[in-house]
Amino acid sequence: MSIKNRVALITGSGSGIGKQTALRMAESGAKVVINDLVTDKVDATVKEFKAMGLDVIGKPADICDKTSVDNMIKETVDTFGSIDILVNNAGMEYAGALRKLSERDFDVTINVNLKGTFLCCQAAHNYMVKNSHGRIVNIASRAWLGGPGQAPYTSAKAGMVGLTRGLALELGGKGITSNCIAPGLIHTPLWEELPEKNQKFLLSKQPTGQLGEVDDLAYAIMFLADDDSSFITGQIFYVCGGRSLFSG
Amino acid sequence: MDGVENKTAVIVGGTGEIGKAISLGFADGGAKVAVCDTDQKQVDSIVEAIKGKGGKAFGLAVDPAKPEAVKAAVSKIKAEFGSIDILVNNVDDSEGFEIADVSDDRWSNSVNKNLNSVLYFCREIIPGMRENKYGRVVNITDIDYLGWRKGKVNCSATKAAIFGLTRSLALEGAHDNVTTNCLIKGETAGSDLSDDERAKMASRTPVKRLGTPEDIVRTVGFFASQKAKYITGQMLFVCGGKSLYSSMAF
Ligand SMILES: NC(=O)c1ccc[n+]([C@@H]2O[C@H](COP(=O)([O-])OP(=O)(O)OC[C@H]3O[C@@H](n4cnc5c(N)ncnc54)[C@H](O)[C@@H]3O)[C@@H](O)[C@H]2O)c1
Repeated sequence: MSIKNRVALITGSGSGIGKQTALRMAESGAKVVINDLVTDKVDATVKEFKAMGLDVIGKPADICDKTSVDNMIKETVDTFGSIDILVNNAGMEYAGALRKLSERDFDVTINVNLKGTFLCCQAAHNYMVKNSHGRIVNIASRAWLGGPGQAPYTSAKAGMVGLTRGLALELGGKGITSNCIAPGLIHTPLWEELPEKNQKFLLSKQPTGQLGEVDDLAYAIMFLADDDSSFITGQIFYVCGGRSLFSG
Repeated sequence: MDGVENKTAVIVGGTGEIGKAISLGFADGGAKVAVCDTDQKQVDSIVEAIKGKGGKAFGLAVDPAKPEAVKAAVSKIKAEFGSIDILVNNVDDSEGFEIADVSDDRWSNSVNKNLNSVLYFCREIIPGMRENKYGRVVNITDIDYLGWRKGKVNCSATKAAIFGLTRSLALEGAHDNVTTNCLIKGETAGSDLSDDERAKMASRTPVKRLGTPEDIVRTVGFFASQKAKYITGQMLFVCGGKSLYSSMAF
């Protein structure tokens, strides 16, 4: 398996799944760009990883803003010479019953998850086409299958699935693969904040009876980002402990 | 292949072009490999190849469609290697016909090879994996299960059955760290194809090439590794994007 010397940009990698993926990729010899909306998270992550001797740079940017995204991708190529791997990981949701959701809740959720992913793909693919090599990995969610009280998030993540499939067809002949990961329940700081009652309920729905770890995601993302995964494209890869097998 | 060191891997259908690559891939990764297939000579040659490279292998000629034979084979493997950690079901019969030509014999041949063999090996091996609280089952089926071309009735039906089998087994084993996943292989370049046929098939694939045994091996290896512990019940197409043409493929 190899991602050594590849240049990887991971959006929203100042925290959670993205941060762990950045760590594992850098440890495997990739050059990694840490992006996040929150500059402090970028600075802290870059500092932490550099102290470990890893080859990383930081690019704070809002992925919903086209100019910022274009600049970030251009600066990545200026620094490292190319962009080979793009992990669209930045995401968030406004959740709630349909009657309680505002127009803004919907717009922001769609913008960060879907439009942000679109803008990053659009900016990065030009450079990937030039090199006849690219790996796009979009972090959707098992929740794209539908979740009550999650109208904006489900819509945004389902949109990401469509985008992934469309790009797989459009870019397949150019050495670029485009795949999706659909995480299930993952042990992140957000989990710790949930009341015990909710944690118990969620775990009871989990075939494995366990949470996933950020490393489970990091390894699956790296599998798809690998040079040797060139025959896998347009797929949704569920990393969810079997939760996608049933609903209810 | 990494993450399979010292594990015992049973490869059913382990000597054809893809099966051989899988058997050798596990051996390279340091696994103890039990190669099962129908032809004793071919089994022996893979076992020798692995041993020649300093690997550990054990071969068995077994008819995977005979439940008693499978039972006996599995006890021999356990006697040789101890417990079984990984099971790869790679028996493949892709011969297909239109309905009027699906004779009883052709039908039972497809059911035996594509479905019964998977059931029999899983039935003998999975209970032990659950007791050991460790297991990785990887079933390999074919993109033809989508029922997307004519003249494949028996093949599509039996390959599709692996979908339900995989997911049911995943639910059963989930609490015991026994994952079951399925690799759906797309059009893979076999030596039986002419250059012209390959070029034509490649041009109809989104990535403009056919698959190779190595494409299959590395995905099997990922599912079989410790790194994939939170992935179960999944169907992953390794098909160069061709599944995108079917509405049933996600
Ligand atoms: N954690 C889970 O259980 C889980 C489950 C399914 C899907 N996911 C998805 O995985 C991804 C990562 O999740 P996580 O749990 O690691 O989340 P996280 O909140 O820990 O990290 C996401 C990061 O994205 C950043 N971000 C938000 N908006 C941004 C913007 N406009 N531009 C740049 N960065 C921005 C945030 O500041 C944050 O640091 C998300 O897309 C999420 O929807 C997570």
